[in-house]
Amino acid sequence: MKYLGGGLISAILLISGLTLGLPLGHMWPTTQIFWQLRVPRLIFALIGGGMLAVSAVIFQTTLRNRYVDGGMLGLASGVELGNALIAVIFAPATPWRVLTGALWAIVWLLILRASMLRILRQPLQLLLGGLGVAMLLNAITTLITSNQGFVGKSLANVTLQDTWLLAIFCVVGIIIWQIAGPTLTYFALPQIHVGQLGIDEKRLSLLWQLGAALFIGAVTAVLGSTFFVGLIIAQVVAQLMTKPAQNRLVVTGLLGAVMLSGSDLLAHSLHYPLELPTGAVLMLLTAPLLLVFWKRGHDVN
Amino acid sequence: MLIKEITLPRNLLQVSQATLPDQQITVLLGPNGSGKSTLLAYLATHLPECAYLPQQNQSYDALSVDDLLTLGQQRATSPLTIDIVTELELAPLLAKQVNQLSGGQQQRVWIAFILLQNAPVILLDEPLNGLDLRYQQRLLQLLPQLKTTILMVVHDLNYAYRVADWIWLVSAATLNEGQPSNIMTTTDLTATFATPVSLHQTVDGAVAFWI
Repeated sequence: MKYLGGGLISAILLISGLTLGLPLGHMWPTTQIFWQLRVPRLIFALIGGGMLAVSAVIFQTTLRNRYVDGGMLGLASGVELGNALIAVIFAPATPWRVLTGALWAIVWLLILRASMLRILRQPLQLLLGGLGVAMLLNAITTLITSNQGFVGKSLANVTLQDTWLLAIFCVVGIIIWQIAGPTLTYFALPQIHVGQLGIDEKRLSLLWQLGAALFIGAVTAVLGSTFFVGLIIAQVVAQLMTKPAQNRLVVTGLLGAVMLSGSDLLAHSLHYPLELPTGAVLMLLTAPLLLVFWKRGHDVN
Repeated sequence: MLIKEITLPRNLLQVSQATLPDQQITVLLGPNGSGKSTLLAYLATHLPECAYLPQQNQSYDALSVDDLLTLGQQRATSPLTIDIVTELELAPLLAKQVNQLSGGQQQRVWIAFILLQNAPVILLDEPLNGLDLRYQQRLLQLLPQLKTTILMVVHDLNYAYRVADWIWLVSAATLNEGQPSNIMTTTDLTATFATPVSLHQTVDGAVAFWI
């Protein structure tokens, strides 16, 4: 675990150095570009990547289903739809997209908890149900935004306001989880046992999921929906270190930070001056991690 | 303890009252599909002080045996006088992950998790599943020492006869209860399981059921 954590921190430092200092178009970054574009973008990628991955661990653990994340449950698609509606109806609110994204995620979480998450208990059912919801919401978003001049999601347009709002929601989520305490371990037990131990699982899962929803909502508002990414990152860490979910949160967050900041570095620099969609590069880079997941899973089985 | 008005779904069982003798072991016998597990699950929701072990148990995340047993101990208001870990020989397994153990080892761990809760009522649904003879014997010796009210589902008639102070026999939506010698008659068992059951008694009084 020490090597894993150390390796990830080294990777973060390397990516950060490259992102901040890399000369693009044969030019060193000016002071203005450095402070107003590169620094907020890097901070967003690092914090956002960690939040994306950590939210997946929370959803997987509290739902006792290792095949879900905020994207697979339809939460990210709900955030995109909500923010698209705001952009169409009340465009001046767009700079507050991280805030509205986090709030939409809370709304969708509460809707899901009152409906799909109550009904669909089997892992595959929940997976298919979540994907169904996501596809439906994506379709509506596409209909609303077609011919409206919306551009693809990328971290290229991250603002300073996006970054400090993201940081605030990161802190809010952590505070909520401090209230929940070191209680993720209870979700390793079947629900009936948790109840018999006198634990109010409903309240506990709400607290954990509220924080996770804030995370996924705030990140998705800028990055767009990402499917499988959080799921895979969370599971790769689970396969690499056999520790309870609570003990995996930090390392999972670090791997998420590496993946998103690394993806954004590539998205920004590979085809400069053209920007590639960061979410697409992230999904492209995450796919090979599936092999680790499958290989380790196969070895265990 | 007197339990009143048991009504299981799908008309599986309807009982006006049943006795669960305090600090004794009651064995629940009955054919497949007669509602034994449903009855235990029903009682688990109606007896808030109980500790209930369903047939299927699994850990959904990385969880060591030690951590699981610690969670069980958290519920106990007073510590058990019996060392369950030693009795069920779990010491070599404490550092291991629950979901990486064999089926029989996992069953021992889950039984220990339930017993460590030191609940006044314990409901065990087929606790012998996966246990080899050694640990079946251990459990046979351990349960009476707990001096708590236990209701358990068992399929082995000879085991049931040896461990039980009281028998619940469910069949055709009815529940008959009483002392093992009164309820576990060859006539009733043959009728309940639709299979000829014979009883053999040795000169020293030991009883064996044959099918």
